[in-house]
Amino acid sequence: MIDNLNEAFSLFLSFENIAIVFVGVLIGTIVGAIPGMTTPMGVALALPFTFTMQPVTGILLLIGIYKGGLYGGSITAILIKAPGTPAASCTVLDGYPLTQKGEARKALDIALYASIFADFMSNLALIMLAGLLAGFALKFGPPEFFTLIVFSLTIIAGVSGDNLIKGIISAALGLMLATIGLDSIYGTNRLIFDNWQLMGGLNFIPVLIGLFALPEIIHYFTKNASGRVHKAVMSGAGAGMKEFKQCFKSIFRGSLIGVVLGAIPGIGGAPAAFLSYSEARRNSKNPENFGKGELEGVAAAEAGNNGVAGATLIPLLALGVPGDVITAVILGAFMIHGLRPGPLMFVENLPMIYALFIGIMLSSAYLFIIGKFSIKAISRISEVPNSILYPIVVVLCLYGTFAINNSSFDVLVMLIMGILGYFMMIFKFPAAPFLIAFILGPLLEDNFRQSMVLSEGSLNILIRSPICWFFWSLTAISVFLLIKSKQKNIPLAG
Amino acid sequence: MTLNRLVGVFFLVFGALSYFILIPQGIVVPSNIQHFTTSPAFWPNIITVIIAIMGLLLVLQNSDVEDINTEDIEEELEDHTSWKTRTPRLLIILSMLFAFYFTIEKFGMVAPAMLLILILMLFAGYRRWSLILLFSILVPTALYFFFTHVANIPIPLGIFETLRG
Repeated sequence: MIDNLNEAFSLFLSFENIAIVFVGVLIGTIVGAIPGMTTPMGVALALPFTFTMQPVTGILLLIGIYKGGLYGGSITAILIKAPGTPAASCTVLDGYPLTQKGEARKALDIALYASIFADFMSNLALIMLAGLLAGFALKFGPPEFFTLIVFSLTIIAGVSGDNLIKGIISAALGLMLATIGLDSIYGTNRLIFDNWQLMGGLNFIPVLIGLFALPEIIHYFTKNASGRVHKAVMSGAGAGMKEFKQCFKSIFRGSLIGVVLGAIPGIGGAPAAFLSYSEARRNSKNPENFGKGELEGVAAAEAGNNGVAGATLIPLLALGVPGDVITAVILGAFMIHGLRPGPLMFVENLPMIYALFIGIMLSSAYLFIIGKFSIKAISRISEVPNSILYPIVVVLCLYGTFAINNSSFDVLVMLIMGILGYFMMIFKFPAAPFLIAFILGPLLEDNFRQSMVLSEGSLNILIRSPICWFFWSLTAISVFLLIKSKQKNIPLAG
Repeated sequence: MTLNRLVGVFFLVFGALSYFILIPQGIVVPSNIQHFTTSPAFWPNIITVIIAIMGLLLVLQNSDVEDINTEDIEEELEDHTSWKTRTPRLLIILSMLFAFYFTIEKFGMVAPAMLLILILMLFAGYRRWSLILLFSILVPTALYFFFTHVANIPIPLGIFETLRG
């Protein structure tokens, strides 16, 4: 343990790593604060820049952006009623009324304190639980992993959009795309159609950038041009210890909600923020003030939202299963560096895991520094019009995609995925299940086929152990609950 | 037929065509496979069946409650640009992006990227020429220097290769 920690510190302690976490949180906060940008977009665009970095450095940059993005989304939510991220839409409910009352500074401060506290709690949960879960997962064989991935994909497909059927189609398309390339067992061609560039399969970065950056941009350019820019106005006195103590119960509760929901694949920040907010209102002495500028409402929403950040890394690091798009990108970053998160990583590469934990803890401190001292400047950056921002982002997408393999074919893949993503957006197909299924597809198929090889073709192996039964039961329960909860929206004819 | 059902029909047909044509044509199945579940085509077949079934369910879905129509789409996209305006703009933006792709080989990435930023900023309605020129030149050049000299990834310059510094 001590040896591993020593090794982790020597792995982490470099100027490059200490600085990169700061840069990541700063970029994330800025990206989150710009209404036209999303955190997945920011992480996707940063990914090509990590190719030449050390694995720890590159991954910490992405985690920093993720954490900064979660908080950054609240800045414009509070100041101009434009949530930078879906999760921050809950912060708008009380944040913007506080700005209207001239108490923007107080709202921003309490959002920052709640975010940092929740982030810290989430990091602790990650550090304490990931190792335990990974130890348990060491008992998993191919059938157990197969059932785990089926469960994860079901819940991600179900909760990502309004419609379970569309979520499943989206995931199935992602799985289909992942089958392109040489077959992993027999080495025969699959859906290559004599195009040698497809032999290695599709690279995930063009798919990622195409799905998560281009559709927003294409959509922007297809609208009538609008140069409307909101001016962010910072007003009033800040919040201090008194306000933090006042809101502490809601912050603590929200952090726990964030941690629990964050650890379940597919749930994400927005439901955690709304659940934390509604719990804070239910337990408040002044529930009637919620929605009219209640400081506790901002604190609860931000605690719920940021509580997921560390926790989403639990299934990623311990099981190798990403819970959302950003952790899927981080999984991709691991893979680019030839690493595979999961239980074996805790055995073979523990110092690296500890080094990541150190960086993750540091990110909470940086979030405080950035939030406290640069919020004014960041809120100014958020005023940059999309007519300047998007053309630059397009070029970033093109350069970043090309840089993966020095291949213009990847640029073509990205453009095609961008068109697909645009039409998925139009027809309300969630993109997250597509990407996560695309990344998990090979793992799902390999574990299935390994199981079949082990059992000489008998499907009974997929129910061989209590762990398999556990995941099949979870899958059945989640499908049942998803159908039930969405029955009002998607009743079947007949 | 509603748009949602049309989308369902599309996926039903796509699933069926993939199962009966795309997979048999595109996946080479060796003759020595031990069991059909280990065949390279087994998993893609399962996926296409799922797509077809989900397409069918989308067709059967009660469209009175949840359906997409163009008004919904516009509301979802939070603007009210009509599809009459949107379609030509969509074609223009896609043409520009694909034109960039096709020029990479001849002109490299830097010069077309400069032109692309300039055109896109104008297309988005931005009119401050000083900033347009500044960003058009600065961004592709800075990215070129980063990728080429920091990340050691040579960004192609096409016919401008002699300028490589």
